[in-house]
Amino acid sequence: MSITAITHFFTANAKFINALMEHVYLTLISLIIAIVIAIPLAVYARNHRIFAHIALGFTSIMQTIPSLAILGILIPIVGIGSKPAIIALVIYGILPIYSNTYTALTTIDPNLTEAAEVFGLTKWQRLFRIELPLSTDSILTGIKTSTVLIIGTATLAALIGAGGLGTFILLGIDRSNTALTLTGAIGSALLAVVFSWLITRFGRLKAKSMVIVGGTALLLLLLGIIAPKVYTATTQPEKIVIAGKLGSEPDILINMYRDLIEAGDKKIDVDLKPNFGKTSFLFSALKSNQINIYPEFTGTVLEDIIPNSERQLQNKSATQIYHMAKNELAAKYNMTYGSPLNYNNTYTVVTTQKFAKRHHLHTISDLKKLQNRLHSGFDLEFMNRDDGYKGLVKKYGLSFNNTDLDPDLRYQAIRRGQVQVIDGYSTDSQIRQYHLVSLRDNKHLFPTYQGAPLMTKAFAKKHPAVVKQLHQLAGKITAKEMREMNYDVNVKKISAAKVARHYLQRHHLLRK
Amino acid sequence: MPNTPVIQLSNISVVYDQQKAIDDLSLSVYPHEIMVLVGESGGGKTTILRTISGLVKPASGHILVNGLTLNDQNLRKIRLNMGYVLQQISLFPNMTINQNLTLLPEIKHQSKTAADQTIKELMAAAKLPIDYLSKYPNELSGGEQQRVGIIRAFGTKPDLILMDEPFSALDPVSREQLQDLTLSIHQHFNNTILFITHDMNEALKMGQQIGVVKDGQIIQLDTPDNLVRHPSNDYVRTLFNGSEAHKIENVYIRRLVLAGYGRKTPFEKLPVTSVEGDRTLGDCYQLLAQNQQLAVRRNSQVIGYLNSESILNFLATKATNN
Repeated sequence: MSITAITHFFTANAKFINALMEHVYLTLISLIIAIVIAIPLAVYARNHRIFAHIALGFTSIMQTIPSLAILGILIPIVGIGSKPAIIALVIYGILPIYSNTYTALTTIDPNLTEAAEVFGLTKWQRLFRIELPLSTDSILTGIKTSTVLIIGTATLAALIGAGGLGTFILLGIDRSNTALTLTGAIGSALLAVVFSWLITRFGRLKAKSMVIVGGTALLLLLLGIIAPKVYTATTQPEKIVIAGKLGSEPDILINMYRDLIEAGDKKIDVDLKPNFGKTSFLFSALKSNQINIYPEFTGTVLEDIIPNSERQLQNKSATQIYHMAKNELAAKYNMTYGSPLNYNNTYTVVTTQKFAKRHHLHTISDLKKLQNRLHSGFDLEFMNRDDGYKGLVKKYGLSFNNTDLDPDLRYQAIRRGQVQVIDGYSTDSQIRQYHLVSLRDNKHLFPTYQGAPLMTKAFAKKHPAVVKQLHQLAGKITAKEMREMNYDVNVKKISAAKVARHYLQRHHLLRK
Repeated sequence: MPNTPVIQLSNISVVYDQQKAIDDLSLSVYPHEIMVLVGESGGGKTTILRTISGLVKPASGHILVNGLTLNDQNLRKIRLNMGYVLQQISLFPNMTINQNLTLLPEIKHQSKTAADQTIKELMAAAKLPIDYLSKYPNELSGGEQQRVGIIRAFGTKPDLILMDEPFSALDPVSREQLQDLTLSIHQHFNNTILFITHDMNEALKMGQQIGVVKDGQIIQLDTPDNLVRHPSNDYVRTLFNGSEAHKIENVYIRRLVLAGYGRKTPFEKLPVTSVEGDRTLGDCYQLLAQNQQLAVRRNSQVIGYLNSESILNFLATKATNN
């Protein structure tokens, strides 16, 4: 990470501008809706004490619900994309505006309100001529607080496919790319500063100019001039929506799905929604037909989606695992699980090519002869998993002198020769990037994680051609090929779409 | 008086916390007069004003303002025809002086040019520079703010103005200036004023009619002269004789004349100097040291003559009373 890398993103990257505009759009829409709800609520509440307390309690409780939980609740109801994001942001934005407005309105000198009443001003005249103008400062402070809150929380919108600067943060974390994370984080921090400044400036305007400026801004927003491409959650009949989790690998896979489906039927329009943050978001979006297909790992299905502690996964072959996942998905959720790809994206033990060559290392068992001389840099999770380091001890009889490392730091440590073996995922692009090698799990310790397209049975029945097209990927893509493709996207910065198409064409799955 | 009253309260009772704040009170205020309600705090005079302005609902009784029954339907109409000056200076801090002054003409849909003209005249009468119009209330002194408060109340030329202890928070100099300002504007506009105060001197200066309020009732209603000369009971007598001895220097000398001290005709062979009736006793000590008798004037007419002996007599009575 360097300053130039960051500057590069701020200036040259059109993706950044797009994400920034999405972020601004989400913020403005949510903020306006929050204002439109919170201020009238406070105005009503000022003369209704019991209602005021109920509303305050309710908005406070909403504030304490973790944003991920709110998103999780909203997806089955309103779908994915900007809609649930905006609803969640509005929920967060209401409290500061409401409580500031309410406090301001109820602490106005009673002499003034009484004077206004005796002078014969109507309820509305009192509100608009006296009470609201006297509360302006406090209301604007509330709006400012909400804005900062919304801008911060909006980074989570990326988790459910609403875009924004959070995409950079999540991708940065996923790829251990600090520059990328900082781009998103600094971008949203700057946005918060700019918005605060604008609101402060707005507060210094005269009442008349306030109305003019506010009205114009609202109008522009409504006309959609500020609005970039907005993701909508509604699914058009001719459209197939394919989503993917965060990272380059799912992104490449869904691009392959699209190319194959569109090659099979020119009339079908495929819409891609990459970079979803959580398995549960995607699965619930699939269940509620917000998306039609997403690639899922067999291991994830059995571990996270349909967990069952009594199930025996040890010593099962990849095919057995796939069939277990397929059958349980069909029985429990009425879903069709397409044919799996070749590669197994699971834990792997990694060493450098040089080291492997010198000591003739091919399998994990080969490490046995070196174990007293080896330093390992496994991360904490791997150390504590039965199918991690504990398994290495039990099944392979290995024991290392280990330094717990952050996932991010493992690859740096092995590159600098501080450790000789680390854990990793079999398709990590760093294996390719730093000239490392993955040792074969010859005793089948690590669970199987094979990717395959997941969809509802109803969808598969309605689109047999789509299922057939996707079947072409069955048994394709080795771990090495996937590593190469991840490397192309993450390190060489080639777009996932290009990398996907190139692979399909080279393997004659798609005509040039 | 032949006119129909501007305010007519008939058998009003107001109950606060199961206690009668106003007890079966009736009162008529006639056009163009300044009616002062005076009394100690807690006696109910402010409640009377709040009842007339509709802020307090009476438990029983009937209120007519300009012939209209005070009820929910008529309330706003009555309020729009009423000026109001409060004890707390209640200028709206979010508005300039000009916005404060034009707000009421605007909601009454009065002509803007006429309203501006009236405001200008009143600003001049109140000796406020015209560039104050663009200032905000907090840029003005308390006295200046209350002047604006008075201008605001008179600015729409209402038939009736209610003033609730408008000057009690001000220093003595500002208080006197504003009393004079109110009297001169009243002379000009000739509207009806109901004025509340706990200051007996202020009551005597401002009132054409004075009602003494005690325990939610009006115990005596009369002209200032009659009140001082013929108090209906000891309470009223003590009230108007300045029961607070340490403030005796603040008693208006007019009151001495009205109470029968001094003479209607000049003391013979003594040099005369004439003074206004609203000078205080304190002022006169020095004047009498230099001049042997004072011709006390009210509205440019001499109402009586005082010499050192009359002053001593008054002080002597006060001393015995206490």
